[in-house]
Amino acid sequence: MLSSIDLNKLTPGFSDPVQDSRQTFRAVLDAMAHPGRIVIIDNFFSPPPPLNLASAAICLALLDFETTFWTEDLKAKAPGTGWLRFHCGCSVIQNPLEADFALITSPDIMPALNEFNIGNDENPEFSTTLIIQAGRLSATKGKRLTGPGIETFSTFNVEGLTNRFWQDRQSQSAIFPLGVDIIFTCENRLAALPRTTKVEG
Amino acid sequence: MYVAVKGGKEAITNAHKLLAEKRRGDPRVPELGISQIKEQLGLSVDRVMTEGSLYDSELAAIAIKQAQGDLVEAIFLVRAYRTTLSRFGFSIPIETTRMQIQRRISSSFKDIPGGQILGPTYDYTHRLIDFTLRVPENVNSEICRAESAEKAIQNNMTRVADLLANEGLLDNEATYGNNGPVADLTRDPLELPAGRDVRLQNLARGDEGFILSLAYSLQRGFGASGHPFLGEIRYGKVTVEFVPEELGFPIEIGEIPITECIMFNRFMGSSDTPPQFIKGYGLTFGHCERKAMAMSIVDYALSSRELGEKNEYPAQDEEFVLFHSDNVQAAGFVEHLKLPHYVDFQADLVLMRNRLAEFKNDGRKNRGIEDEQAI
Amino acid sequence: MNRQSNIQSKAGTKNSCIDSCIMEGYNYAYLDEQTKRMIRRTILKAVAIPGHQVPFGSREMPLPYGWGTGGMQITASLIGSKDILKVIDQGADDTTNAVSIRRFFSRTAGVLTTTRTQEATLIQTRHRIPETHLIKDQIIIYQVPIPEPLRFIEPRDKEVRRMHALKEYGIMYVKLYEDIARHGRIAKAFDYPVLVNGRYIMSPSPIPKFDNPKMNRMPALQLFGAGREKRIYAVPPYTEVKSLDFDDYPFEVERWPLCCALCGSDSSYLDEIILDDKGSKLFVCSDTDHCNKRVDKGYRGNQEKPVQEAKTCIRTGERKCA
Repeated sequence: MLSSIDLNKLTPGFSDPVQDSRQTFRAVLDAMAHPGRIVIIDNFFSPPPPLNLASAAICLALLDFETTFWTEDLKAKAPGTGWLRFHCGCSVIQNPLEADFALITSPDIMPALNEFNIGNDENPEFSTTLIIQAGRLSATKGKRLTGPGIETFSTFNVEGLTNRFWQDRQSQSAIFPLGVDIIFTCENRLAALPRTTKVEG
Repeated sequence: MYVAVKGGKEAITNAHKLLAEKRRGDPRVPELGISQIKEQLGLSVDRVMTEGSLYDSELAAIAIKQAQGDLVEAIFLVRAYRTTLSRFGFSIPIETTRMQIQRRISSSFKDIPGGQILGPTYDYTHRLIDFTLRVPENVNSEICRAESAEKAIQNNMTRVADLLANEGLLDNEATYGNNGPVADLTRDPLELPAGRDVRLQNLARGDEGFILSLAYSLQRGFGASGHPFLGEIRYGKVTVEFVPEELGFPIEIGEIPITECIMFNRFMGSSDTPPQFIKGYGLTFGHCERKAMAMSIVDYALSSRELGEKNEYPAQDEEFVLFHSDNVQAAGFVEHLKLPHYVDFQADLVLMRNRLAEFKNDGRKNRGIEDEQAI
Repeated sequence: MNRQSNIQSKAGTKNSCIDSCIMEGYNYAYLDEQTKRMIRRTILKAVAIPGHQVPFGSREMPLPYGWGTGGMQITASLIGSKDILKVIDQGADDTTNAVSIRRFFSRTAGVLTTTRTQEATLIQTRHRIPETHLIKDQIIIYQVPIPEPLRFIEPRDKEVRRMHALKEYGIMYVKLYEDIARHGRIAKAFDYPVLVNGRYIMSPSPIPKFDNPKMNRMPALQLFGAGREKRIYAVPPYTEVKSLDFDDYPFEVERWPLCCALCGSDSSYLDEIILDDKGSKLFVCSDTDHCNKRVDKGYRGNQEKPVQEAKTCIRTGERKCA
């Protein structure tokens, strides 16, 4: 059982939930439809640590009582978890394999990608969507991305990820259409790496 | 000079005005009141609430008025409103043994504890048009009132099925292995194979005519089970209770009239299920007896998978039944043929013209060959 | 070029419209926020798995099933004050159902609408893809009646889902091959099946196969909504969309030897208009925006001799109207 939420310390979420949710979703859709494109969340509020603005906005826009949520280092009493439980009403679960969404705030110690739900043959969409809070996102140098959503190729780099992460990601390409979809966030910026994207370099 | 047709917007606006005029009819005739519909077209209201999946007689009556009495249209109006309502939570299951009974009969036993109660029914009326109804005030309000019985009908009447269950002759619903949370078709897409909860919800929302015909097909021979027996049909008010999160105990939020039907179906047994009667279940808002009975017959037919029976008739085929029972879906899709399709028809015209030209060419060729052979 | 904008809003300026036009008693863009979140999650998964039909908890809409409820639920989940919406049916903006859907969104979302393809951020369509090339960051939303391309070969949902899961598409190729054996061609003039990103066979919705090539590597995001059948699927920008065919029977679009009687276009999809009881006819562009744009530029068709065959230019191979 999770403990109760300290209501006195809660900071507000979206000031206009209808329009802010919609704008955040459109930003995520834009990123997911154009892998590697860096999209800015044009909003301002103060989520509790360790949540950054983009991660918090994505959670507010997409999570609710119908979604399961996993995170590695937000303990039940951590302000971030309480904040998400209060604003989203999502159920926080222990097993990453059952998560619709997972938030990773320390990518250096994150579980392997195949510890999350990769979907099944008939329902590859059951897979986990990972929100990874990483270091700087950049589109000028780094990995070469190809695949749906990309005209020829795009360049993309995200700081703070381990080699093992990229090896994991590489091995997921063999199981398509299964696999996880990833959204990287940094401050108010985000970029996505759906399972279709081929990463080189 | 050909000019492309325009003006869809005005056409629609005008059509809506004409519709409003047609709905109202002759303005010299007094307008129907919502309470008149609620009180005097109660069975229509009940059907709209049942298939609209929303208990609100006022709203159903408005929908019937708005739809000029077209019940499928009224059901659609109610559904489209229902879908925008936010949810507070789920009531606890209603207890039909505690029903305040107005009608309750069993045709499986001559007499039952509590008695056979005929209640308000068309069953034994002679279907003769009552011309006295033509003149509104002709029927004296005194005559319309039934005399009250000498003895009140007892509440808490045991269901006939529960009487038989003690003997082990009746299924105990374990067959369906359904103890998890109840599914909700209005929130989640239909997945097959469907659990009994999903099937029952689908049938309850399903079109009365469709469910009725399926039940009829089963009775006529397009079904393996043979003759179903009406265990019991009951109609009356039940209490709806709700547990608010902050209170932690149930409170009564209202009373609703419902119709419940339990049908007994003979099951000869399988390797792991003993011979017994299997219950078919039907439940509706208000008084929808025909629907509840048909539903209970089809419910049993759809259990063929759990019972290890062959699935060989249309009404046993859950994919066929569940995907085609909803009249809002069916009406929409059939009627969408009224929308323009000229782009696709043009594509088919081109294809068919080419095909016809080839056919004529081939014909000539074939005849040519025959002529040669004749020589 | 100084072209006048065709953006329409219900009440004069943009801002006042958003504040005042929204229908009372209903949420912004009709759907409640919880429903929108569910649809948004579905759309994201659909984009991540191009061509795969994702089941979703489709809601009853105030329009009948089969009249665009799937497309409308997607549009309602996307649309906002910065969007400009175009709605077409059969390629035309002024067909009654297109008018009705456009009006629905100006009433429930107070959104700006347009008939000009290039001005729109969102285009909801039934049965056509505009002739004007769609560009980066536009989103086209198709209304889909039957999302399952295998349905008329195998009606059982359980079976076809297994086939998609295992990429077992033998029956589709057998069906197409039987067509060729029997009729000398694939007897599919619209809703012609495509293979998306080399993985999933997908229904392009009942667009004429004339439009199929436009889907391939389209810069705009393509979303497909089937309300009654409760499925959403997607094709991300620049994704390969291949119309199914055989090496010896390559995919071909309808040959159109005629020109539009209004604008003289020899390359657009044409509607056949019957003029009188004797069956006289002429052909006009199905895409009204494309046609109007050409007429504005001074192009004219020939109504004296309305059914005019385009001649093939010997030098370039292009078809031109005489």
